[in-house]
Amino acid sequence: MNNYVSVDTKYMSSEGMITAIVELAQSRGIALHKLLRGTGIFEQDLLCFNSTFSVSQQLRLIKQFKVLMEDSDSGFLLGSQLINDTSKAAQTLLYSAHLGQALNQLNAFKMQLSPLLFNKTHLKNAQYYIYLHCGFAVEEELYNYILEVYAAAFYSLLKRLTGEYPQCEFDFNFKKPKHIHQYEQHLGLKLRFEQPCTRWTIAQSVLKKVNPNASRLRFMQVHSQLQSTAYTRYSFIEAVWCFLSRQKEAGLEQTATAFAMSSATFKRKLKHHNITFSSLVDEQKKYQAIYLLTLKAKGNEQVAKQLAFYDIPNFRRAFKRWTGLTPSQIKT
Amino acid sequence: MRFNPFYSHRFLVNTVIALLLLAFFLSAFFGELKAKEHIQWLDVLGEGGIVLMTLSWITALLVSRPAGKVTRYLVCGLAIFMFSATLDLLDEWLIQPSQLWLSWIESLPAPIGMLLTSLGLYYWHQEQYVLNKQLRRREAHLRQHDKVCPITGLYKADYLQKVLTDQLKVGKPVIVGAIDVRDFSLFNREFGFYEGDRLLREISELILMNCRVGDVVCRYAGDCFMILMPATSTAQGQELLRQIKSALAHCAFKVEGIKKARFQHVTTEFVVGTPQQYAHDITHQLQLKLQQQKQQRAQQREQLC
Repeated sequence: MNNYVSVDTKYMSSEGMITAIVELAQSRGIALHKLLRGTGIFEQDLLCFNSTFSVSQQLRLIKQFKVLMEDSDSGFLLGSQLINDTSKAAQTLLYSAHLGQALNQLNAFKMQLSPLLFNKTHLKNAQYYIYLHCGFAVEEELYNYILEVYAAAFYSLLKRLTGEYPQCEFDFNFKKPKHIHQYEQHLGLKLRFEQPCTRWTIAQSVLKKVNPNASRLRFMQVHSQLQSTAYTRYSFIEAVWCFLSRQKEAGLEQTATAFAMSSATFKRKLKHHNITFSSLVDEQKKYQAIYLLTLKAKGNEQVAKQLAFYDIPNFRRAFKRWTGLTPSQIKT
Repeated sequence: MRFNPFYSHRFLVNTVIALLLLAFFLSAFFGELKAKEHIQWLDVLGEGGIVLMTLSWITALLVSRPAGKVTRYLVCGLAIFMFSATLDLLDEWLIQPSQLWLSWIESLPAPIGMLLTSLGLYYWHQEQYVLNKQLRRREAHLRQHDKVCPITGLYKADYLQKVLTDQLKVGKPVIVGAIDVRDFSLFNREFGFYEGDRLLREISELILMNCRVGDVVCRYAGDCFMILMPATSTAQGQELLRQIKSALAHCAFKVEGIKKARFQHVTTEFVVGTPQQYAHDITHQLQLKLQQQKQQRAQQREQLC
């Protein structure tokens, strides 16, 4: 439970996102000092292999990048550049035997490769569903941009590991963006917006497609090198989220105790992460409810009971508040 | 591109500064200080505003225009006008002994400056005519500088959307062609974004070269270009796309630092737009067709393996 990363914990190297951003910005003629202004990252940090960075630094850099690049395709460019990363963790993905293995690796090293999101996956009717959640609370506009970046990275990974253009359905919970043509160009045409959850769906058969660049030997080599280093697995928000999904009735007090904090300290820590306890509980329950209703095809009564609601009307009201839809509407 | 006035317009900057100083010295030399209670602050505000505004126009001109005849006339005209305005402003503090020639100096330059500015504007009109000719095939009847892609200099998707909507509203049938560069992400990965951007720029030039005068080329998104072809038959449109395709396939792009030339292969598609359709439906249909073609090719490649 204590193996989590806070927004200010300096733990990741500059490989991956930070390097990709700097490279891209420089190739577009943006001066490095302009890009790094206000991010708390210095030029010499980028050159020194031992320096570590925090998520808040990464977030500030992304924000700065977004502003300076101006063009509406910058997120997609960044996303496709992410999978050209040469870090060990990224290499295990690219040498994987198939997409399924690569996604397992991605999950194992997510705090290095994509610390800003975490996911819950489900298999049903030969469809593989990936539900995405925010590992660090950020303002909406930036969050949408981050989803754009990772969606592009995910689709590039899909293309790279299958050697073709697989179908992937992208559901986003924000409304249709102005630069929709960029989405269509880079992610394909299976796009839906204003959905209750951010969810990406691929066919199960894609997971087992042989990766044309697979190399078992190289995979094992990189993998064994990675085993020797200790890796943190969760962001603070994800850790709380996971605890809440196990302890449905847990209140603030109990959760704080589980994290070995007083409730005041715990609250302060959540506030530092830009989120409140109740909104986190809501977010978690919303996801659970959608999952149970749609993928598990459970009735309202069962869901209400599982999520520790007092009665069905209460659950219906809460559900309507979270998603704008009634439980029966979401089933259809 | 912005210009550094101290570098590209050294003569003009010196002229402006010299005129300002001259105005100061002339008034200071001949004038006598007014008593404080005689100063009319509203006049100071108004006349000062005129001087500052003119100065800001001059700066804007110097920063945004390359050196040349039009810039020279416009800046000189405005600078002379500003000279008059400055003398006028300084009069609020200094009483000029009623010397005839100073009032001459004060009022005469303004119309001369206006005359020069007007001359400059006339030349600007001629220049614009030439530039518009240069911009043909990049631009339809509409100009919106914020919708130009900074990399290729072509208009972006929303411009195409707008022009297409206008075309459809008039009720003219129109053909929209799409050109998608194959494996562009691979190129970016191999040679970096700098070379990738350069390639896009070169491709856009080549597409422009192959288009007719009435066509409009846009950079739609990423590596996808679209061409708006008004009053074109299907056969003509197809032929044009085929020509562009072969032109690109034969264009030997030299990546910096690499000896071997790269040839670009593209996927082309087109859609005939009818007046009942929305612009977005047409581009959506095009994208769908492009993606089907890409998927088919990937499947064929797999079968060959």
